[in-house]
Amino acid sequence: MADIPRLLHIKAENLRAQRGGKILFSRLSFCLHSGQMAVISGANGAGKSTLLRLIAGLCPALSGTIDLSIATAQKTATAAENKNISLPRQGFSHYLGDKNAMKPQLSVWDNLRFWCRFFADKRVNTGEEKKVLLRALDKVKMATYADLPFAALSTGQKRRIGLCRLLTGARPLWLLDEPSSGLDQAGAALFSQICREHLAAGGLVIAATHMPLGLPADISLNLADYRPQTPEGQFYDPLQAG
Amino acid sequence: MKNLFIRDIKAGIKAGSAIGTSLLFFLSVILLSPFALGTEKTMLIKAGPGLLWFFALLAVLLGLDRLFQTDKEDGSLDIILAAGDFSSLTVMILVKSAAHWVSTVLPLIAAAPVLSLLLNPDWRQAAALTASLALGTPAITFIGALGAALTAALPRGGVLLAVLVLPLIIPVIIFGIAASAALVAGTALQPLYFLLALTLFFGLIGPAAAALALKFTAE
Repeated sequence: MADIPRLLHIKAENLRAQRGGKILFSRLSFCLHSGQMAVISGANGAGKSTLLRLIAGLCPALSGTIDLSIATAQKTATAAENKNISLPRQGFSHYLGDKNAMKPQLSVWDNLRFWCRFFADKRVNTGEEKKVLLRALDKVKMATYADLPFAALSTGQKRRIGLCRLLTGARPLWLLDEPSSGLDQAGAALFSQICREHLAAGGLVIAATHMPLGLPADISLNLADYRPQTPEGQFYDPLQAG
Repeated sequence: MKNLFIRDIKAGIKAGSAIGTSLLFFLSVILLSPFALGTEKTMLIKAGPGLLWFFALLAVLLGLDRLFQTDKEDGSLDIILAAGDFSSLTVMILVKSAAHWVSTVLPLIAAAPVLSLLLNPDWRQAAALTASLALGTPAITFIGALGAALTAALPRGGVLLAVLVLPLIIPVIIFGIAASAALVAGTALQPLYFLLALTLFFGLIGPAAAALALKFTAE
């Protein structure tokens, strides 16, 4: 976690997305800095998952831009100027959807070890890797379940391992879709703690949730505010221009 | 990449049932073919290689929907798609197809010599057929990855996948049979080289097209 740089910004401008021919939101903009958390709220079907998937790069937006950038201070001969360098969202974000991305037949340890190696940008030796995995499992209090096949866990336990996946690789931007679904109170408290630590280290969190996360949200996006108002604006016809 | 390869093989072997299904399909249809064709020896000897190739092809294609379906179901495909750009995704699909070939198709190829000897007790024919299958089935797996990517969201996508990629598989069948015949007769091995070329060609086109398909149909 020490690798997360500070002064990251993610800026979205005028996002517009459709799903199944219906425009879910338009002219959605926000700006988030390191250490801040954004909470997306809205009714079922309002487009919370779509917005998260859009930011993760899994589905395209109809219009609008999203930019993840890091501010660097560059000293030239005459003055120090601040320059923003754009980063590709792919390599710098974690996406936690409704599914946990684990193979049910393999053990918890094998699953997490795969993801640890997947997210690592350089070769890690086995001892180091074992330490990282044990530390991650300890954070979610699931260390004793490491050798069980993933399918043998309960829903809440599976979700904890899904959260554990985020700890196996250091990425600054976390995109969480209903992260505490299925978790009991202890699990939800653990999750709040993990998020708090991530934000303190300079990370950014964008979460879509119905339930209170136990953390103050710096930015609240209520998708009802961004629904297209006119009846014509509500439907997306790919054959029409614009 | 080695990581992904090993995980897919492990998961494929532990899942078990789908491999068994492909292998059982292949075994049963070959064992039933003498009943359909009649037990006249010359008929079986002539039809043998063609039948084996054709049914191996079907068994591979029908088993290919497992390539992306398990990952889509448990959500790993989303993470893999979100984490990489087009070229790394292509390499990952190549590795996944190779792992699928090792876990699902290799048992078929292991069974092929035995089944070939059943229809035609000539060990040279059996060896030739196995060699041509071993070289040709990777081509089918790679180009089938494209069909698998397009039908990943469908629950019973296997048949639609087979229908989609069948036109592209036709050269593989043609050269596969020709290669097997050339190896037996000891004539020039051009068909074998063509088969190898097809495998290499599809090994590039298949995963790249599948990567594009996955990027566009992710939703």
